[in-house]
Amino acid sequence: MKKHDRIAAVTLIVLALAAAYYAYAELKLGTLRVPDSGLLPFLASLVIVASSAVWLWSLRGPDPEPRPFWAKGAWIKPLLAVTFLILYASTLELLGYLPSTFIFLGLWQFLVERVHWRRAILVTVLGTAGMYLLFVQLLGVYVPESIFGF
Amino acid sequence: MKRFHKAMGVALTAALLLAGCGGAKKEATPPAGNTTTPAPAAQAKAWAPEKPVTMIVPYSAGGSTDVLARVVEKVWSKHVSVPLTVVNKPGASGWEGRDTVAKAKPDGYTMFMGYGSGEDLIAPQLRTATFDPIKDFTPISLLSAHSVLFVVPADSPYKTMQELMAASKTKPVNAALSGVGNLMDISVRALAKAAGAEITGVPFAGGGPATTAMVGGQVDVGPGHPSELMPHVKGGRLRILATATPERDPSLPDVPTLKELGINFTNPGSLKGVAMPKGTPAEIVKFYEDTFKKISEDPDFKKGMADAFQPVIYKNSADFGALIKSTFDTYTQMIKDLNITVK
Amino acid sequence: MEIFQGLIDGFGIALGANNLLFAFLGALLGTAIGVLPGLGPAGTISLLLPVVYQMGSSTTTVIFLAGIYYGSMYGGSTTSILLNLPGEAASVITTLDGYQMAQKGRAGAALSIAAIGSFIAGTIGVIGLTFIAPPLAEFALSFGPPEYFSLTLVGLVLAVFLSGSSVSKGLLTLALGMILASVGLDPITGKLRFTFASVGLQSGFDFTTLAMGIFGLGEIFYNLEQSDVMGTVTTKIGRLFPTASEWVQSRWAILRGSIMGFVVGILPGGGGVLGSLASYAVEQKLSKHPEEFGKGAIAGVAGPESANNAASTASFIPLLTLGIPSNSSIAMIFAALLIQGVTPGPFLIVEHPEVFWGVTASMYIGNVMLLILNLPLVGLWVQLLKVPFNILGPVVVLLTVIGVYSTSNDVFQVFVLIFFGVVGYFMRKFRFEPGPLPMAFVLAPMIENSVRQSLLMSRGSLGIFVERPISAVLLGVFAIMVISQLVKALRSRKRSAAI
Repeated sequence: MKKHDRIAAVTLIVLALAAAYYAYAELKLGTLRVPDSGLLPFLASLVIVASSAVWLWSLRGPDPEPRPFWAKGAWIKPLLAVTFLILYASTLELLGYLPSTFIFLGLWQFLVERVHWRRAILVTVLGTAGMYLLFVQLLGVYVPESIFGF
Repeated sequence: MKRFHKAMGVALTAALLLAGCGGAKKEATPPAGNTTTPAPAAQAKAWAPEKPVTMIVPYSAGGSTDVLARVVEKVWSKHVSVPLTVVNKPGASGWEGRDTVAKAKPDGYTMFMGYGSGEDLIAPQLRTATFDPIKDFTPISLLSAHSVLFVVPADSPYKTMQELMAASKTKPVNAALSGVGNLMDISVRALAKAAGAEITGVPFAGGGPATTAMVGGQVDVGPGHPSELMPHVKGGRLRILATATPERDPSLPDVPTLKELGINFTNPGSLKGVAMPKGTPAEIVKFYEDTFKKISEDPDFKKGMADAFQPVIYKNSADFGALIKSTFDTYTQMIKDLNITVK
Repeated sequence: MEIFQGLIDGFGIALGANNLLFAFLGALLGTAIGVLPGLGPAGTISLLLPVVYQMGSSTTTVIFLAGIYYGSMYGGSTTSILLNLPGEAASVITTLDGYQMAQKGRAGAALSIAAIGSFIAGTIGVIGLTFIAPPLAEFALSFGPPEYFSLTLVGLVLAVFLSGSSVSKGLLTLALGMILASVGLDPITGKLRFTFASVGLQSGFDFTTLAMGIFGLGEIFYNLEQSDVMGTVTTKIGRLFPTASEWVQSRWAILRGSIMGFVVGILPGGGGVLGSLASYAVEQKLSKHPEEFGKGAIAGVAGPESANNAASTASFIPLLTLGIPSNSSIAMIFAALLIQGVTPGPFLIVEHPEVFWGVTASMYIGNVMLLILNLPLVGLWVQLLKVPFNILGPVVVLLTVIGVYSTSNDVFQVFVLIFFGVVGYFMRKFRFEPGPLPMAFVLAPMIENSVRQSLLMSRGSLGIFVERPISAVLLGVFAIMVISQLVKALRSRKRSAAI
């Protein structure tokens, strides 16, 4: 586990240094008296660098309880969830709210949660209908309409 | 278990039926709108909206432009059969809302209020905008112009503009601005130059916070629109020193113009009109032109505007468009003269 | 004595059938939108303005809209406690201990104390509005950029208190929040920061999107790692009301929170966030069991909830006494009054006493209504926790998506939401407390703008921060807090070194 923390800390330091450089070169720091756009991001980046360094320092030494970052297979479900979400967002305007939500809920039920298929269908249909009825019909929220007209 | 499944089945069917009905309802409306086929130019069919119209206000609520939109909203239903939805889209100093309209479909259902303001005519000349303020919009009508008034806090030692100018040569004088690179910013710089004075503009996040700073005495002076300032003038917290308009404001007969005071800077004010995306068909423009003309003559509208300290100035699409172009060129010249840049 | 006369007249007006009805409708609507993620009071008020114009009476207008506004504060805590979804900046603090309490089966107690605390705070707020509004409003006016800077600096230090055990991780989170806040257009110079040619980023990140991503989605992604599919948020439901000992722990928190929230709430633009933050930090300091904070301390819910309700009541003071709106919801009420011919300002109480006193009296009534409305609902809300997580999870995801989409009409924001969800997930994996991030996100722009405004005003002289009395006092508080933290850290280091 410490190994992963160290990787994270180093990554943060690198990213923060990049941000600091961006602030310095692109946004300009100005002077302390007349600060420019880059000053605050620059200082904040430095704080990140410093605190990541402190974190890294606290991680020195051997790892007393080496554990994998992810328990066996635990990374699958979150990854699927994020993937389906991205898919959902991408198809939202293409297919419209109802179809996209239906597909999304269906995928989630079947693959992410792996529940009994009967229940999965139930939740998918009811969930989609419920969201649509509540937000679109009742509250009049604007959602993308699909090429199918609903 | 069986009962549970049955109940679920009933619920499911009910839900699907409802969803289906809802979908059918939505389907019923579009076809009517689609029958407006492009007619031969000789007899352009009169257009009228069939679903709600959206007016975007690219500023936050309570500002002078927002108030103007609200007064329009108030009398809208007397003149148009479909409802009007006013949406505030502040962000990127007034550009986010404009960008949305620039990229919207020119179908007559999306417009924005505030066309002709500094964000259209001044700021795009200083920074690259994501839209072209002239080419990307179709001007519909002018409704008002928000002049620039200069006020000081009530307990300020400066009783006249001259005193302020004189003082600024020896002491630091601060002015509250509602933004950067907008009309207020330019006005302060132009004023300073014309009077040979040095005034530092302190930007705030919009007219509201700027006005608060003036009332609280955090700054020495501030330019603002009457809609935002007059409630405080009436309340005795602010004192008007001058107006930047070429002639005296009829609703403020005691307020001298900068010209009268010998300061060579005039500005007709921020034009506030309605615009739609470019390519809006002529019959749609005509419909809204006429609608806004009727609105501008509506006594309720006039009363609302008077209560909001805003003048009613109507121009149709062609005149408005011409005014926009000429004002744009005026600002181009002013920017050059004042040597204004954004670093 | 004219205050009492005015108040009596006000009650006469507020108890009229029409005004009672609209007070109730406003409170009801406000609670509903507070519960639903995404739509906030400002958007709702905007949608309802055309309806309001038909009402005729400006008193009824303000009663209705005000009800929506402070009603939404009641509703916002519900989703924070049950689903870890904060609706507004001020509700973020409630999620810290509120959701923990829900997971331990004390959701009922959390919801009840939030409602009760909000009621007491609202009532204290209205009493303040009645009797000491004008001098307080004047005090608020004396807050200029230097004072805002010093105040938000104090707020930033307080936010470090949310960082749990590791201060360095807390600082890291704070700094990250500040950088995220700087994405977009710089309001003072007009330059674009960190937008990398993306139009969607030009106006920066939206707080609600960030909060729902980091808290809501992040938590869901993290929980997906567990293989226990049929679990619920908690298996215990527990009592619906606080126990006697919980009540004892909370009552002073409520009182302190109300006063802090009230004072901070008067400041235009500052308000709710700082009040809740200060209340949380103070309660943690004064508690006999500070280690419980972050794990379900009821004072950590009672105090901040009271603070943000008192703040929302106090935010009416600048409007009613000076004609200055404190935030966008109130700005719309200002606009509605203006175009109905009622000019808000110092003379409102003289020219239109029925508006001032009618609205004030109606707030007393509104708070009672909200209490009666919300307490019985606690039993209902708590049932939500019985829903298995694998149904609740996707539903919450759908809610956040539609919440984000409905307020921006931009699919890009949904992608931003997902991004923050991933950020929140990794924060939990690496054991970072998410609390300081949204706090810094909200406070950073205030700090940056006020420092630059102040330096412009003083022509670059740093002395302005200490020359002005209020700012100097606040800076002193800041210094004391930082020094005492350092001393504590050094002393504990010495102690462990001596061992």
